[in-house]
Amino acid sequence: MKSQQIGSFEEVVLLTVAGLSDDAYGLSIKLSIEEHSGKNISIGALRTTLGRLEKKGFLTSELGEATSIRGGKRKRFYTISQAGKDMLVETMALRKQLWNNLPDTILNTS
Amino acid sequence: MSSQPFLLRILLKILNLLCDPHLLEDLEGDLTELYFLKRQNHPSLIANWVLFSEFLRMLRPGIIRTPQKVSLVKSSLHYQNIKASIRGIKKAPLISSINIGGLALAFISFFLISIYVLHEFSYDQYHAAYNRIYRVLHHYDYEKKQPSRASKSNLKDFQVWGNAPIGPALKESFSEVEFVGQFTGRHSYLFSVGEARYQESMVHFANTDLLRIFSWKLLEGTQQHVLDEPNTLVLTEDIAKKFFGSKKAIGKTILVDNKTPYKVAGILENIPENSHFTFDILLSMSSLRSERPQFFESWNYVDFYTYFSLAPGKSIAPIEARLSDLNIPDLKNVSYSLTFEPLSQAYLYSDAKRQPGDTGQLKKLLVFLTAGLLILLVAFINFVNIRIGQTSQRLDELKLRKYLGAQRNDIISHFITDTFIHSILAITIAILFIIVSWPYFENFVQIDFVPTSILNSKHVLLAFSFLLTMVLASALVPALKLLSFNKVRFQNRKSTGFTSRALLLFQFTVGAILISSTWVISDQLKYLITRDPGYASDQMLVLDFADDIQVQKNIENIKRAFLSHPHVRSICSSRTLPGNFFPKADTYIEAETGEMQVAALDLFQIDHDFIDHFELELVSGRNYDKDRPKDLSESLVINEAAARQFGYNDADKIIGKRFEQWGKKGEIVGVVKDFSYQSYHHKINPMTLTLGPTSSFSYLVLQLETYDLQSTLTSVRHIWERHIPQRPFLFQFLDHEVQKSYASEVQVRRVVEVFAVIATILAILGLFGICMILLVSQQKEIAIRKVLGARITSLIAQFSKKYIMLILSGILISVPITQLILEQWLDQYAYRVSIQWSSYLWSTIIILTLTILTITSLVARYGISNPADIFNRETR
Repeated sequence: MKSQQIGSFEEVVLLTVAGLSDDAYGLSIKLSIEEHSGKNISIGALRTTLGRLEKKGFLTSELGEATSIRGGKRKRFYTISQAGKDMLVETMALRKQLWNNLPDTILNTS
Repeated sequence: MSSQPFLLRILLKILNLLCDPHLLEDLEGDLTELYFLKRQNHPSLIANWVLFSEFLRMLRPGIIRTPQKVSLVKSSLHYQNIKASIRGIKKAPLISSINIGGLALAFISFFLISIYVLHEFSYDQYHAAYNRIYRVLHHYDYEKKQPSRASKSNLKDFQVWGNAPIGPALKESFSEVEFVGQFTGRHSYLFSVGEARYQESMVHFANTDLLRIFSWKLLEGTQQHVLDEPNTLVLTEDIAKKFFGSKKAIGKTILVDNKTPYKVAGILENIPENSHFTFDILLSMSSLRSERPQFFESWNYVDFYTYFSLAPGKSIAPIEARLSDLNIPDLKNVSYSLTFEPLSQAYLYSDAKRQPGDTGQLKKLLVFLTAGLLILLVAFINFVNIRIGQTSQRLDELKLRKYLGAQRNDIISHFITDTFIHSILAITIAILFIIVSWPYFENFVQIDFVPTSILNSKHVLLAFSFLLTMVLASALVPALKLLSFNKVRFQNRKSTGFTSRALLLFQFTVGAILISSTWVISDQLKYLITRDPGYASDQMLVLDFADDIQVQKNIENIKRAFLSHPHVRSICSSRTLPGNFFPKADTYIEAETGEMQVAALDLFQIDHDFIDHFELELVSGRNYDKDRPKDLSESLVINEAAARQFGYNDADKIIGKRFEQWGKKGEIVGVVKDFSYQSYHHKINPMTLTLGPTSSFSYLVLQLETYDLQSTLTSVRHIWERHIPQRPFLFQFLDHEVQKSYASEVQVRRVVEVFAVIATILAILGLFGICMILLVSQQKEIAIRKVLGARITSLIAQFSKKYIMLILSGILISVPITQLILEQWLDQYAYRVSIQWSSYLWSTIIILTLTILTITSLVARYGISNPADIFNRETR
């Protein structure tokens, strides 16, 4: 578990789940990502990513209540696990460190 | 929200099949929610599109269930089923080939019949305006029984052939009528193209609108006005080729009947074979109008067929209701009425007389279809029967399957797979056979058409769903039968069960029906062909000079020239011949009360020699006499039926009574015995044999007396060429022409014959299969009987007993059914045989002989083997 890696899309999903806190399920995650990034995310791709993250132990999920707008199907709610939080913090720390090392001139010229 | 839109439902169903079951629920939920979310602010089209693209993108690894997860047991079961079926076929090659061969035979018959029947039903449907085309039926009531309009229910009183003025009247009175097309009865003319001469008999006068009603494609010429001008004509493609070869035909001039030049104004594609009337050449109606304008004014003159199309969206009912709007003048002597018939009725359903072309026989088609279905049924019954018969042999296999945990459904699906494999093999064989044998089939039923033109996807779908049902049914019966055996009580069943016996009974009933029918139909046909028609028809050579004026003027000299030939025994000339077309004439004859009565009688215009030449028997009075020149205008010979029509049951009493007909006025001088001048479908009608004039004649009939037909024909031809050089030598033999009118009966007989053979073969094959299976399972019993001293004969007797009883009862059941069907069929003939009991006897003999032969050969085969071998095999 120690050497678990995380991809950039996985990171986005993980952050969104964390951000949505109580209301993170398939469609809400999709819409939220689309809203922020402006890109179209497919439910299928999202679901596989969510599945992968859960398998890696960064997310936990449970089935919620059935609602009529979903044709009587239950939502699967995702919550971020401790390992997930740790991973996010770790990743951010790494980024921060790397940012700090960046010479000012590089960004200015671009 | 409870009602989900169609697309969503379908996609969720597909998802259900494809998706990993763990992911299914929340994905379904997401999709549904997404759809309704979009639906809130967007039209359903966009929502559907979003849904669909989302669905497509969902089809990716990780979502779709992996192949390894497909139920292993199920797939291997299907595979096993197929394998077991093929193994079964190999293991019992004889039984399997009986099964497959029988099915293939039935499929072949069924497919061919279907193709033929579809072809018959496809008539005229290629016209774009098919549902909007109607034709006028006319009714001329000379007895004025019904002063008002004749009832539409009895269309038999109506005829398609009628007058000309009705056409313009329709167009004038009813705005719903779009085009009115008219054409005349068929004419035969001589067409001279340069030096070459062709006698063409499929010629009509027609107007341009006829070509606008019907969708025949005009290859050359202007669609709008092609037949407008006088002395123009339209050729069909084949005739244009015949006349002009590869040269351009349009604009060329053709001399018609050696007098009038016509210009080729258009080339029409060949008229499709499935048209209720066909033609080769159309002459413009205006040519006829300029020559004989009175035809187009007279409501009494009959020589026209009138078809019309309604404007799109209009219906016929309002026109029918306003028929009185038509301005029809009161006609002398006759009450005239009309009605309409849709084009869809014209070929198969029309009862009206005087059709413009051949009509189909619905009854015949129903007979064919029934026979085809029966054969298919017999074949599937064989299949079921043999399957049930094989039960005892397959019990081990079944037991094993059940012990291994096969469920009810698995066993049924095994049977279905098995039946499918047999059916697919059979269908393949059948289709290959049909492709190879197609030319023979065309020849056999005497039709000529391209099957692809009528085989549309709808028919194929129908045929296959029908076959599918049959296959399923024939798989389910034995499967359910087997399942009804309790696992624990599996036992060898020695005798065929009730189902098998009932099915066998049915098969032999069908076989007996078909065989007896063959006999009766053959009897009827023989009767029709060999029945004495009442006139001499042997070696009658008919020469057709198509009312050529020069021949008519010179007729007596020409007759003498032919008569001088040693092999010409007698000669006559006339307007028409037995079996040919003839007109009707209003005829007034003095009744016994002294008043003049009128009737429209069939009219034969003949010369002085006609009655002697055809050896017509004079019942009373005298023949026309060359020494009495007044006979030409003042004498009339009629037939017995005509005498009866005017109330004279004693023919002698009508002699000397006054008559009037077509300008003639005088006395009845003779009565001839009724002779059949039409085919035997019709009763002999009242008719008159009117003398001359020579200007009406168009045939010479020579009675030959020769053994060397060929050389006589050549010398007759030389005489023709010397005296009638302007005409092509056209000849036919009278008896051939008459026999042609029985083509339909010949066809029915052939088809029923073949079906009888096929059904019998199938029934016997089925019996053979069942007996064989039974014998195999009873080998031990036979062996023991033999050891105890039974002889083969007694074994055969013991074995055949139950089947003979079964088959006899099958034949017994067939008798009333056959009687019922055949009486119906025979009733369409005015002259018919009664059903002979010998027909049933023959079918009994044939079926019983075949049965006994089958059983004997089988029992002998198993009976001859050494009992010791059998015991050894069993214990091994």
